[in-house]
Amino acid sequence: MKILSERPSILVVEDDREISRFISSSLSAAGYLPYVAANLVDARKLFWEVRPELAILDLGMPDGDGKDWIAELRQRSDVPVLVLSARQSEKEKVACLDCGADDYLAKPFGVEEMLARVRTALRRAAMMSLRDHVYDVSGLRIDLAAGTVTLNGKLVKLTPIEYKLLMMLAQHPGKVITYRQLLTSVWGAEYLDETHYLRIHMGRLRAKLEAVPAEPRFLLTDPGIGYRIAAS
Amino acid sequence: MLLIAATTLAGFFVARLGTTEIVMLYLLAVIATSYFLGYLAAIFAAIGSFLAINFFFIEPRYTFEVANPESWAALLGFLTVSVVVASLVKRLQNQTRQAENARRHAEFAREMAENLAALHDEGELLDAGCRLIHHATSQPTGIALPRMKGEGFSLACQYPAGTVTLDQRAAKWCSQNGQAIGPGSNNWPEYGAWVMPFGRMPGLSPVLVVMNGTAEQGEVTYLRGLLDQLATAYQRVRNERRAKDAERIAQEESIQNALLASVSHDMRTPLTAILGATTTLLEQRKALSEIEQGRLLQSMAAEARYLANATENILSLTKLESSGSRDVVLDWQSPEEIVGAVLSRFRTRTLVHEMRSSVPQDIPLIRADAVLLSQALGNLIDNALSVHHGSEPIIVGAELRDSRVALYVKDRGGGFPQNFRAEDIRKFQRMNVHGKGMGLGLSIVQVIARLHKAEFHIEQREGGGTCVALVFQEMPSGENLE
Repeated sequence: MKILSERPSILVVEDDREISRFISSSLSAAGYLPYVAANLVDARKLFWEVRPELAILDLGMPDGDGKDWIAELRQRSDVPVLVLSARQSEKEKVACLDCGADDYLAKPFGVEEMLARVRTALRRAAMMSLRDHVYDVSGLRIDLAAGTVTLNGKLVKLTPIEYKLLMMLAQHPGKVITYRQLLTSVWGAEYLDETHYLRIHMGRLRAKLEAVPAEPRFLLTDPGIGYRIAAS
Repeated sequence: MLLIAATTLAGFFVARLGTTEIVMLYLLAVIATSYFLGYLAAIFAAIGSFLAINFFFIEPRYTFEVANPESWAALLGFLTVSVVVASLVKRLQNQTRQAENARRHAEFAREMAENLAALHDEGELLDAGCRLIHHATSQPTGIALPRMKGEGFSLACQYPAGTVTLDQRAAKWCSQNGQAIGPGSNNWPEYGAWVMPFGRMPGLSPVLVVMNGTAEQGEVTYLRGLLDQLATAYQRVRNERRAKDAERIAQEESIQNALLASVSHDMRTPLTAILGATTTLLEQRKALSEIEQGRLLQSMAAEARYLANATENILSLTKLESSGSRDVVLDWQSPEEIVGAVLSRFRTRTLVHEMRSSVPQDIPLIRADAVLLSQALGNLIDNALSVHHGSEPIIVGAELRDSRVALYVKDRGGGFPQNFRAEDIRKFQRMNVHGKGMGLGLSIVQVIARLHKAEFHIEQREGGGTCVALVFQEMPSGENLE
């Protein structure tokens, strides 16, 4: 049974007491309702009791691998999952995103950064519930239903590949889409190693959509991981 | 057959041919036999010819009797000449065969030298050498190496698989004494195989084992020649590996020194500041104004961020130290994306006018590790921010320098002494006079540059300030990539 509350509930799965304390304090102060689980067993139980709107998960839990829990969760729930990870482990970040996590936050992080990610993930989850939404941020308008892209009111002409890439990103504003996910869905699984295709076509998209391509406002790069389209 | 042919021919022309011609005809048959069928057959042919001439052509004909003593002399002369000629033919044939063998061996040895020269891995080299020697000798061939731990030898490779039996005693004796064992050698000549050492090496040397050896001196010499080539190539590859190991150890030492220097300075200073600020707040909060409390909290956050960054750099160095280039993920990267990603990381804590990008649209892709390169660029920006002054922004960008991509950070600060070069970084780090963390950050940039085989340039800018650049090796044309 879902506990009713006007404040969005967030499940924090973190075994370090000091960290979970500051996360839950800052979430409370920002108007969310945090629930803390210190291991995966509690997290599984609490998740189905509380039915949170978002889960924040530290990967290194004492009783198992957080990635397995994400994969398990994804079979039954679309609730956004924000992963806390060490800054060095790009491979792990990619593995988490590929198995269904929505975003990651590198430790150590500031509260403002965490709250921004939480807001983005919640907004995206709300948008996903509306089918064929319209991405409309700072003059860039991508109408997923109509299949049109306009920049400051002017229609932007895109090649089919650029269009597919942009749609893939615009369907999940703010979410990192890994290179693997983009290559598989745009070119096909046999093109997984052809990352230069991505670089070249993303470069062309930036040239068409960004005022200064080397300082992009919309098409953001997470080095070694993937791309995301700015959520706001 | 040849004798019958010679007899028939001589019989047919007997009326016209004299004894000399008939003898010559038979001599021809003997030479032909010697050439085609060998020495022994030629001797039989000579005796047969002797009897045939006697029987068919010497008076009285069709008996073995010889009436004339001169004919005896002629017949014996024929026999002698036949035997001598057969011997000469045999010797000529032997010489030709030896010359052909020598040419073939020399050709094979040259090919072997070429094949081995292209290899730089010990295992691959031994395998190739073993295969080639097996090819040359047509005998089961193996190479045994002294075990790293414990006593004895173990077969590193063998051709064909499972055909070589290794006698530990023979291998040990051969390796310890640096002498060959087997047929045709002075040691254990009754032994059924050749066991030969890889020349004189410090400690126990590897040994070559060739089964079913023969005592033929030419074969033994040939085999020794091939083994000498293999041993020389093996020594070269081992020296190459030792040189690489030495270089790696030197790199690790330089990284360790950078780590020690940074821990003492980069970590201790911010920790002191944080501890000071927190204890002040805990002990004297009531005595402090809200503004003062806010300042202390801000300084704690700033120092903690700095500490986070320094920790990241130290972890990177440790990681690079332990793994070297193994953890570097080289892939095609866009300089525009790297610059964009690094700038956006700094945008949250710097003012817009403090930094700008400069990347030409047609800059080619580079082979790089995106994460390491972002970190290198981030470190350069951190350093630039700590010394930059004036109204001009710091420029983070990429450009082409003689077809090579350079990523750079330009500032207007006085962060580096005049004529400072990248080679002076370690000295600079010890000096520690230009703000905290510059040395560690630069050391990492230097390591990252080296892992990318990129050049690391520190250049003084006209009008003051520094341009720090990573200049990558020339890449294949971007058009080829599509």
